[in-house]
Amino acid sequence: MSNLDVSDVSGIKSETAFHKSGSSTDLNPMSNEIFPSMSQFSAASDEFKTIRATNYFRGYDWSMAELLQKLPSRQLENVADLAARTLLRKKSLKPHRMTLRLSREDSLEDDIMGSLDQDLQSATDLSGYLDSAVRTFPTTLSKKRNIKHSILVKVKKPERGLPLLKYRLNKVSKYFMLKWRQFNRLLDLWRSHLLIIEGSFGTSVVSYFIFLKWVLLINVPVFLFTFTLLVIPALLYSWYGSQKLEDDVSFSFLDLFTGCGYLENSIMYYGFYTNQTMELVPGHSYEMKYVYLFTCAGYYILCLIILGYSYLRSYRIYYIEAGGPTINCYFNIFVSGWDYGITSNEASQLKHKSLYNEFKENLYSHHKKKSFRDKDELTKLWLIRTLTWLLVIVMLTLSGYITYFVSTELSITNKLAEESKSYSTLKTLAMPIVLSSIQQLFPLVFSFLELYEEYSSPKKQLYVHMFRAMAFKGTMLAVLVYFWFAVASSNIECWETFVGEEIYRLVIVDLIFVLGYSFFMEFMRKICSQRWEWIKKAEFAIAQHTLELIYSQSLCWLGFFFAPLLPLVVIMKLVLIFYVKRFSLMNNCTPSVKSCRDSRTHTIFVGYLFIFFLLCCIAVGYSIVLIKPSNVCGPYQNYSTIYEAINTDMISRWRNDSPAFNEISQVVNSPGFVAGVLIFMFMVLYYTRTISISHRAMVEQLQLQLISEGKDKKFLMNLLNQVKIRGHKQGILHPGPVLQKALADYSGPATASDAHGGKVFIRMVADSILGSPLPTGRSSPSQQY
Amino acid sequence: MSYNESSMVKIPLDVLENMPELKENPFRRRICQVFSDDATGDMAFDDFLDMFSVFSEAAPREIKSAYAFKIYDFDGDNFLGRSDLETTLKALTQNSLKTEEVKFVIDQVLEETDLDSDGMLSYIEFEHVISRAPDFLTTFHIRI
Repeated sequence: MSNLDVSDVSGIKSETAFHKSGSSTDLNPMSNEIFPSMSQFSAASDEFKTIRATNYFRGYDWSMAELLQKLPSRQLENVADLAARTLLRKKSLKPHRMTLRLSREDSLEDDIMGSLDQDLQSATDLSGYLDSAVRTFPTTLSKKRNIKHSILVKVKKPERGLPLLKYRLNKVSKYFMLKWRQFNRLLDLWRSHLLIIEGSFGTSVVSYFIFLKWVLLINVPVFLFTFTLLVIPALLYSWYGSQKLEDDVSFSFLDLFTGCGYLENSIMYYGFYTNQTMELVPGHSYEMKYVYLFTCAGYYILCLIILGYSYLRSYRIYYIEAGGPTINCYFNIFVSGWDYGITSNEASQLKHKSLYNEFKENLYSHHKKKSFRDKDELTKLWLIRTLTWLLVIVMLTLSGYITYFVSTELSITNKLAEESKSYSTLKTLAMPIVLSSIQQLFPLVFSFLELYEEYSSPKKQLYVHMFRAMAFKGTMLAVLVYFWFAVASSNIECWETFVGEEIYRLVIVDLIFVLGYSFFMEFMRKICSQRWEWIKKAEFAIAQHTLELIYSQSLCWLGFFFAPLLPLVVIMKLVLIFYVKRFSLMNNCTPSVKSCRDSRTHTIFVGYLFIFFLLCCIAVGYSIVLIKPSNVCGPYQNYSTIYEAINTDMISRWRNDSPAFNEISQVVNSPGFVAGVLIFMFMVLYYTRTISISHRAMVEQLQLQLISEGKDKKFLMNLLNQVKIRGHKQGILHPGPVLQKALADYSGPATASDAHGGKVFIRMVADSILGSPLPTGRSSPSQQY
Repeated sequence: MSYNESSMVKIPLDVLENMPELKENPFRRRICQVFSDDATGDMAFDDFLDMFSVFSEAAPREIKSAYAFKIYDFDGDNFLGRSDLETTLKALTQNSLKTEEVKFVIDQVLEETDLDSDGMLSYIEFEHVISRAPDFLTTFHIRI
């Protein structure tokens, strides 16, 4: 592409902190990105060829080096270089990124070799490093293979001893990783379904299904973990051990919905688990009370790790790297507008239309010039908004009261009346039905109110709506939890089983409502739309469905401690919901014109999931530490709190057994130690925050660097123009004081840091031009070198 | 397919254009040209593999942005000039925007992204703004 062969100049790369940090772009200013098109700079190339030609005989490109040093962009680097020498260099194996070098692929090999550190000469490290380096090159796979191969043959393979072992292990592990990845692809759940959905509806709709799949995949391993540790021993013990079983209650179909009856004394709930020491394998005792608590703790900790990691990753990608609120709205539509996954004609037409609408909207809002609403309108708007928020709070308290009322009136009396076998199914199901209907109906009221609130963008409206819906769910769950822990635990004999049953019923009724929504809102609307023209097919309400998913998952977490088989129920529910929604979507829904950029909403969904998880953990933790477990059922009979079971039995036993443990536990329990740990955590927090601030400052510096690289072009253009003009003015470029004076008078770019240096530099360039006498002002382009 | 065949047997452009994954894509012709060896659009197996590996989920951001730049650079001069941006815009909206609207949008895009104000987007600038577009990775992705 470029006539200017400046590949020799690449050797002058200065090793500044920018390069080593691995986060910079390549700052080689003489690459072909500087010169826009060769037609514009053919004269420039001639001039530079002159300079090079004259120095060729001198044997080195000192003028090129000087030229580089004087460029405006380099000034910043010189300053930074000074600072960089005092910074701690991070010795990481991350290769520095290669920018687009469309015409310099053959020199990639040399670049890699040049940037290797000395101690990477062993083949094992090298191949790992090469893999990650070569991945980021924008060339074809075959070229990458060749590059890697040609570098690796130059490195000596280890002959014997430990390096040879490492090398062989590395190869074997890579082979197995490859086989594993191939196998993993077969396991990819629902891949064909997701393909079909994405083709017809685009990435935003498919993100709901991916979220569902992710939630399912979280649930499966943690459930297996608790299943093997908790449920199977209890089952075995009940079959073979000496546990007294309740009288057989016959199983009726309604029990699946209410969770009572046959299921009540089954493995499903807390009440089944015995507090006796089980001896499954003679000689080894399996204490159910410890197992129960620790398995539950393990479950929650596993979920915490998974959720925390994914939330942080999502936050990093969408908030930090994107720099918060996006300002480049036009460019973003440009570059991420077209959804490459669309494969159906209908969807693509819709996408074109939605892109058109988006551009039109932006144009319109731009021309409207952000109406400064006058004072009257503003006050009216704020009044309306305050009113609606007040109304929302009133509705929240109302829903909380309704929940409490239904629970006390119906659930408890029903349960207490169960003793006399006179309970009715409807009364047991009353509370969940009321809850779910409130959750479906009240958001409709919000949507109506939001018409008046007039938020500035539909995104904001969506976030407010989501927040209100989740606030409702959260409030009702909180009221329920309070009711269970305060009222039910003191009135009902085996209250944990009661709580487990309640949550089970909530889950089942929620499933019924979801299926009902699918049936009525989507299926019936399609039938109606075929009949009457003015009814349109439903659009898939992604946000609402995702919030329902979050709600059901938080129910699972809340109820796990009281009903260990609940995750299994939730897994089956999720699978059922997936298939129902998928078929309903393809048959009944129409793709929406509104383009929903879902990157930030995904972060918000994971954030809600995480928050609800923490709240559930707090609730369960509260019940473990502060509530008295029931006396007639479960593994913690006759303890004052569950925590006490661990404390008195296990820990005091350990304390008596080994004095060392006693000492350690006393130290750990002391306030000094806890304070020390807290202080340490705060210090780590402060440290990471400082690093993030400095990274942000670095990003700003790099932006300035980019801008000044652009100034390089103007600098060089000016320089060359001046040299040409002066040379032409003289007619012939002959050595003389006039030219030197003219060049000395040349005022270069007005960068203060470089005023003096610029003139010195000009003189040097002049010297080099005048060094060998040329017959004409223009160089002879036929000089080959 | 033998090793030689994988780089020599080529599928012609019109067959590739009708592939279900590319059928509805307004940039399909340019995509095939970018990934084919000789810039005609006929792809050998190696090129085909390259294409889907770039569009897969596991491709790093640098590769995706490099190839996005190549795809949107219709005249192949290593810069996204006004004509490139105009062609992209027309392909995205199927020519429905009026001329002055097109001009205005391109002005806005250049204003947002062109740091050295030369009227064109170089790769450095492009990569810089891409890193601030979080949706890019999810939309620049063909699921197979």
